[in-house]
Amino acid sequence: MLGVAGGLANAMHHTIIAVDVEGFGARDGPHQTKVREGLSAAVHRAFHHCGLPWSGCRTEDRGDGMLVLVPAHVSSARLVECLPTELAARLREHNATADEQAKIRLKIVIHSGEVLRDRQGYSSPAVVHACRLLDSAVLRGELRNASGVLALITSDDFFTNVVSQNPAVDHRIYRKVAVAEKETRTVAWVCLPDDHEVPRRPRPHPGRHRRERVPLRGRLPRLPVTALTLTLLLLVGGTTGNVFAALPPSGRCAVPVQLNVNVSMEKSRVLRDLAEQFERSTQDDRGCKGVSVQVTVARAPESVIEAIGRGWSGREDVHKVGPEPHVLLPDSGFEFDAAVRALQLSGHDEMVLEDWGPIALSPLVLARPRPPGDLPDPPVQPATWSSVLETAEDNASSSDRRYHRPSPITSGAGLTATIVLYRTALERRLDAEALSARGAPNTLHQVELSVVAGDESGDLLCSTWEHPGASGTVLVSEKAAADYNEGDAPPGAPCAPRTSGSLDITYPRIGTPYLDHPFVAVSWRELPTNPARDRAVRSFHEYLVGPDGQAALRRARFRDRLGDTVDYEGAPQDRPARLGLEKVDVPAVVQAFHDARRAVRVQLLVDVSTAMSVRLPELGGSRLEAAADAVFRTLRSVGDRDRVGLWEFAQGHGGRADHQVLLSIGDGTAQRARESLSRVSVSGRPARLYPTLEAAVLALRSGRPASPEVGDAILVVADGSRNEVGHSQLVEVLAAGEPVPVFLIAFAASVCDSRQWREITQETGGACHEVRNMADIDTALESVATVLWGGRR
Amino acid sequence: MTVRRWCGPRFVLAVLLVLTGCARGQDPAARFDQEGPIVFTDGPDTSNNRQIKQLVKAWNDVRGSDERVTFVELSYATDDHRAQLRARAQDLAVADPEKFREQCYDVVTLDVIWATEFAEAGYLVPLDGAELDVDLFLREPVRAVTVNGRLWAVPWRTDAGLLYYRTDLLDKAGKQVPTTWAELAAVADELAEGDLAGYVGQFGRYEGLTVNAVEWIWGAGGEVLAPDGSVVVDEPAAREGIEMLARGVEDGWIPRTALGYDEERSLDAFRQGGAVFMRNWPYAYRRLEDGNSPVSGKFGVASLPGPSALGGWNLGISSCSTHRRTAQDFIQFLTSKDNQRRLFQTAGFGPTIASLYSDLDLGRQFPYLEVLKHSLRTARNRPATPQYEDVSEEIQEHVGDALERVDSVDDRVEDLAEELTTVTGGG
Repeated sequence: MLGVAGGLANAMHHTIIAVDVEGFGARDGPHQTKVREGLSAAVHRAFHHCGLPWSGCRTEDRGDGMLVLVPAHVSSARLVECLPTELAARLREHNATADEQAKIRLKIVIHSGEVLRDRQGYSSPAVVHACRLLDSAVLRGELRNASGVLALITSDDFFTNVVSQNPAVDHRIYRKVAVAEKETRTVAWVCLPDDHEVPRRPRPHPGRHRRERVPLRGRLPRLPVTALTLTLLLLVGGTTGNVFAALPPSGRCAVPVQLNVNVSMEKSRVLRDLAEQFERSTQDDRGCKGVSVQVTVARAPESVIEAIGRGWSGREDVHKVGPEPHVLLPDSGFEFDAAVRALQLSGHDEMVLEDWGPIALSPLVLARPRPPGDLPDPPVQPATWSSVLETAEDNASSSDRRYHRPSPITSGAGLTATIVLYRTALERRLDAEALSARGAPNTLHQVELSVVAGDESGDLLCSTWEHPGASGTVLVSEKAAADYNEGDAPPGAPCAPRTSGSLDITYPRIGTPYLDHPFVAVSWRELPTNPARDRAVRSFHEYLVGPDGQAALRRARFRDRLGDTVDYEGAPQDRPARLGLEKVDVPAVVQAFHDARRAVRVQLLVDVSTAMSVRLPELGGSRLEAAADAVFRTLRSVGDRDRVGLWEFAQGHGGRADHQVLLSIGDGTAQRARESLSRVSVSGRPARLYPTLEAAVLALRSGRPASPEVGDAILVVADGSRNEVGHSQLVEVLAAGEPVPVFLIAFAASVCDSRQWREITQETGGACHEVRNMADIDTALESVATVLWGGRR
Repeated sequence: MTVRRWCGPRFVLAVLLVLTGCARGQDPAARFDQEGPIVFTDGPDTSNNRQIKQLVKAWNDVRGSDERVTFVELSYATDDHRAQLRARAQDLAVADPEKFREQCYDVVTLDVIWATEFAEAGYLVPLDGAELDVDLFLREPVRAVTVNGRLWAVPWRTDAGLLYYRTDLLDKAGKQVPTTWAELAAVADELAEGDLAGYVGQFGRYEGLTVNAVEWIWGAGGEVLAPDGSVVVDEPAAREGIEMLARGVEDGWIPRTALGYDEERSLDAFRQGGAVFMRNWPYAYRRLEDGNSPVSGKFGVASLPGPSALGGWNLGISSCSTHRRTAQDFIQFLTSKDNQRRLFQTAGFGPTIASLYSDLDLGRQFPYLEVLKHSLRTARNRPATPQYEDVSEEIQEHVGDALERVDSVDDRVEDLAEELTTVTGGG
């Protein structure tokens, strides 16, 4: 095996695992086949259960065993922490259903070193060393005397560098031994992963505690046991009014206690597994399970919160959101707070929610696809969340560097990201007042343009996955980023499987919010108490926070309740500091989100009559120029989904009509609007407003898109005075259909006070602003923006 | 010697009889004469123009508030539906029915796959088959809700999976309706293009996936459990069925989004013109044929290219019900021949009254009645095992995983076979 042509210059570092089945040669052909199949399946499944990628490993069949070479980037700490016990478990499962000749007891060696592949297979001194340890008499003896199925040996190097450095591994179960095998004389460490000494309770001396018959007065009739059981069952059956059917047919199981759990999408996969394992743990010795867990995945936290707000008694709640839950497992405490608040507001006290604390943790992180071919330089770590917002704003116009976050409607991470971003942008506690304060809607609208929220149907990382080159930075949970790096598709998302590409992961130095995955116990006041169900809820909770549950959550790349996790590709060096956030009015935040993201269509009507050529005192430019400038600046608030149309108007300016269309609203992106604005110029004609305004209202109404989410508005920049013609007709038209808010920025005096304009603004829900200088114009535009993106009009 | 007279079978029998009599509401004469308002549960009424809601309204208009029926719609997915019913039944099992009358679901609609489980758990009241004219109903569905000679529910709709196809697209390409799954795969692959999917079914992780999976397995000549209960899903034929499906996803003629589809979403996709073929239940017919449907007049219905899974929903009376007379009357109303005819005509629900299948007028009006009849005749039951719930969950998990990556099919099928062996206590 030592044919090392060309030296080890092309060798790569691997963790070397080899296994050897005890007494393989002594079995006949068919049983040997069964053993090899069972072994391969057990190893494979053990890797899978430990979250170790099998696809990168290289394996070699050794006849009576296997060699597995695990590439360097897979954490050897995780491997040694998890693999031996998992493998022992899988072997026990195999042995449970195999016949005597096909049962497996195994020796295993774990070592590491440089390995080269040549024509004969894998070779290197490291592989040789591992094989020697595996074949040693010491290890053979260990397995022979063990009561478990597995005996493990590691090299001294591996023990010193990996095993003893990993606090998760109990290295006290390892024993130092001397190995002498062929030319190898060395020190090694052995252990029996599934054969720990369990201190036994001293058994009472047999015979001492025979059951004593307690003498009773007279003698009780000794009813046969079956009759007694029957009677009891009948009594139980009697109260349900269904005597005979209370008896389960012999051999079948009684119906288990039903436990309905509503879980977030991100936890759905691991929770389904855990629910199944928990059910198995409730099995009695007939194999009948005591609890049946129905896991329903919440596609949108918002709809769960709304259902709770109705006491889950809305007509569509059970069928749209799921069965009445006994346990809720949302992604964050914010959702719990929102649910409690929804219940308080609605007065539905049939549902009672209790937060029993986190079952897992996951910090919010910034993740960016690593450009291909780049050396993995650690990404630049932002100092604070303000820095994050600034960088996002700088990158907002570039489609492949833009920042994204998941939708707060469908994702707990999206909700948490929205909260921390809004909190940072507004610099105060997020209550309803703060979110609607002056200037807040505009600020939040800016946030929405800078860190774009994903849409509700897709998964953000799916599109990053499919087009890594075109994706900027995403704010996601650490678990989602870790899954991506380890090649796992997000749960429930329609992504095609992927084989390469990584995310660089970072978070602000000051800290980041953690999704704290609370366990929420739900009880229903109007239903009778059900002690069996209450016990089931408590047992399920115990299971999730117990060692098996926590281990499974860690393997699924969540952090456990103490903040520990498995290692994964791209993991940050240190544990992110936890950023605390004060209580938040979640429904108000969600409402502000909807408002701040509202797509708008704004029809700009610019007066180009001679009155607009009047110079503004301090500027040296005309009214028209000042207005065009201000609008130009405001176009910054116009996002991809918004549309702006531009008409200029004066009496007879458009031939038979008073207006000319410079940019039709259907084509009106912000960029085109800026270009069109530069073409606006004074026409030398008298002013006339109302007919144009009427035409604009009609045009907007007829082109109305299907979505009610889009807001329409008309913004008129005009002199505003000396308009008589067409007012009553305009008011008729305004009253006759859908209200379209009309905003007027007027340069003349006493315009807004006039009866005509008060009627218009009242009818349409708009506003009128008289302006004399740039500052006035800016203020007026800001208040228009507030109405567009700031909540109910 | 006094002792001897106390024990033995006669005493036990006496105890039984006494207890039977003493148990509340057990007096046979008194059992079914209470009338009053009741709650009726079913899945969401997705029929065209809400036919079930209309029936409930018709009843309420006649019977008034004294026997008002409140219709509560539970989940689409059968497992969620069962979970809600079971939880409620368990909560009310040892409670005073008078005190919690409003929380009781008097008349419950039960999926054929878990109807008997409810009966055996004591959640249902046994029914009198003669009073309910059960002889007029199809035999298999009645047999499915009869345990030890007692009837526990009345079959209301019976279901078999059908193949819906776009007549215009097949005609244009000069293709016939496929008669094997392999043919279907080939045509679907050829015609799928851009946003037009080849085939959609129910592949989300719920009972729908189990149904669709077993249909493909049966179509390939395989089976999940052999008649003796042993696990055979890892044999070549069954494996091939699953692999064909996974390959469909890999090659794209089954869209990846379909991996989250239930009945409604797949129906929507086909209705919007997004697929050449769709597997769905009979109710889909009316939804596709209504005036607003983009594919109205452009689709046909055929039997699946293999046996379809037998479905069916049955009406039972919960043990907590204190108004059993009304409950039974309402069940008779819903399952009457006239109403079943009407529900078939307007909602496409498969009737359970046998004579409707030979009704000439109905057959002329709806030629696909013949297709449905044939499909029902050849339909098969899902794996028969007391652990069906667990079996179905394992199928959902492993076939679901297999569909996500075609190169994992062999491993997933092996895992499935292992898990099923554990779960059915075999091996």
